[in-house]
Amino acid sequence: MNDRIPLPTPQEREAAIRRIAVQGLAPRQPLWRRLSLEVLFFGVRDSLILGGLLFLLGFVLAAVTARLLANSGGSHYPPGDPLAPFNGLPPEGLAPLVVLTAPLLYGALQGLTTWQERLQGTLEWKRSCLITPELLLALRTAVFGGAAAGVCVPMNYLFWRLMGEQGSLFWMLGASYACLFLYAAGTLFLGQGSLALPALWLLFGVVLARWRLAALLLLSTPALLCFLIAAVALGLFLARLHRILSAAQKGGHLDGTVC
Amino acid sequence: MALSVEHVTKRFGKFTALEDITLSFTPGVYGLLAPNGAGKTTLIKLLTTLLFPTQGQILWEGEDIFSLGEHYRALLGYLPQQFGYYPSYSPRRFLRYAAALQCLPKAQGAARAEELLALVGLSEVMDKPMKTFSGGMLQRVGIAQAMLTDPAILILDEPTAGLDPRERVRFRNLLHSVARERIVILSTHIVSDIETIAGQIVMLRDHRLFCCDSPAGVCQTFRGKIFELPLGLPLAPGQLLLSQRQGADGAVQRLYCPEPPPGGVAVEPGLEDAFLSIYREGSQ
Repeated sequence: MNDRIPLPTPQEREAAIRRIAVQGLAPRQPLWRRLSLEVLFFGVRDSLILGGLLFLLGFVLAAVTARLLANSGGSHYPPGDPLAPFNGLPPEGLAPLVVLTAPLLYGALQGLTTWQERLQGTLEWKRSCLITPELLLALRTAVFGGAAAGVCVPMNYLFWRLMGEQGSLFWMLGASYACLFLYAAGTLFLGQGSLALPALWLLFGVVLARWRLAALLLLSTPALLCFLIAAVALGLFLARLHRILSAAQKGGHLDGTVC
Repeated sequence: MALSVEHVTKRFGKFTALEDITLSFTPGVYGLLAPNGAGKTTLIKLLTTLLFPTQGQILWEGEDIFSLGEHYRALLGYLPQQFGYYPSYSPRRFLRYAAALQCLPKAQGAARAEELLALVGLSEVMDKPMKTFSGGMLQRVGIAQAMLTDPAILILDEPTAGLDPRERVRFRNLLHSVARERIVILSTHIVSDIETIAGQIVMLRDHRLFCCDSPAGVCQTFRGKIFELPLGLPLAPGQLLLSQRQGADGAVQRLYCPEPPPGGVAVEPGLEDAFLSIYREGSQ
């Protein structure tokens, strides 16, 4: 062996091997794919049950309201008016009904599970695990968002039937999806445990119920525009979710913060 | 195996929690000893990647721990100061869950959970809900959780806080048994917790590194400066009362004093004397 060739120390050799292994081997399966549903919802079963019950309660109240709206009468608009599809329905009843029920399932499940997780104080040690709390919360958000989006169609269809098939089902669906995805994107941008968003959303519903002009403005928004807003909000939601998942996959926290 | 902290500063707005800390950890037990508020938990959170340094870097085998990401986390076992658990679940289920979060295969996670519960002396209660456990038993579950991946770096933040003396002794013995061939960093403000098990004592003062030395080395600095005097004699300027105890000839006071006081008997300094002298009133 030529002594003049500078050989690496054992530590340098180990470090070099590890670097090669990390950078050269095929990428590992994404962390989130290694999770089962049992692990994803471990320790938050109470919140899932309570969230489901809250949604059912809200749903029943909304269904009764929808039935009452059918018989309450409302303004009549001439054909061609953007509000013509809503003839016979009070705007200050229909608008808050759609706005408040759309994110109800998502908001209840996401809010309660996040709150329970914080209450248990398990976030700190989980932050040192490979599957971080950010990753868990983001994946739960995706599951809740999917469930809420699936519920939107039958829920609005039922409301529409209960209202005597008055109003525009297409508009109701567009407005519902826009509300749901805006709310969902809001939770990811504002922080998942924030109470500001539910409070703001409730306030928005109250404004629509109490201020006829605001309700009329919402009802006159074309259904296609509502779907467009829904698509943009969904894009923002997915982009943010992707960022959180990527940061968690790398083992870090998004923007240097922890949830 | 080497974990090094290089000129790390951490600021929260205008408040500086840690200033220019440089340390190197190799396998062994390190006692991070400082009063509350000195920056121990901040340093622990930096080492566990829960906080980012404002300046400086932390390296594992020469590579930045934040760049290593999940590869670094795979080496890490962490027991925070407030160990959150699920009261309705048994430790066995809890550890299986924690193993899943560490991406251990299911069978391996289950076997490891049982093995660790036996190690921490909880085999007989492994299927009982944790809400029935004492503080010491919960801390042992916490240790088992931190040991799941057989980590190269084990970090324990104030693990004995709130434990009774018997549990503290048990905890020290447990730590002894898991400390081989890994870096163990144990933060505490209770001197007796680390006096017998730590090979190195890291002390922070005024948010800076004060010393990193063996317990004997720390005590050596105070040799010839610790004295005992009969209780009741007034303290002269520069003397610092450390403690009082009952001696064979009555109560005595133990003092830190740079010069031998009249009538004082020089005594062998202990780690507690060093701790109290270093963190005298006014410094953190």
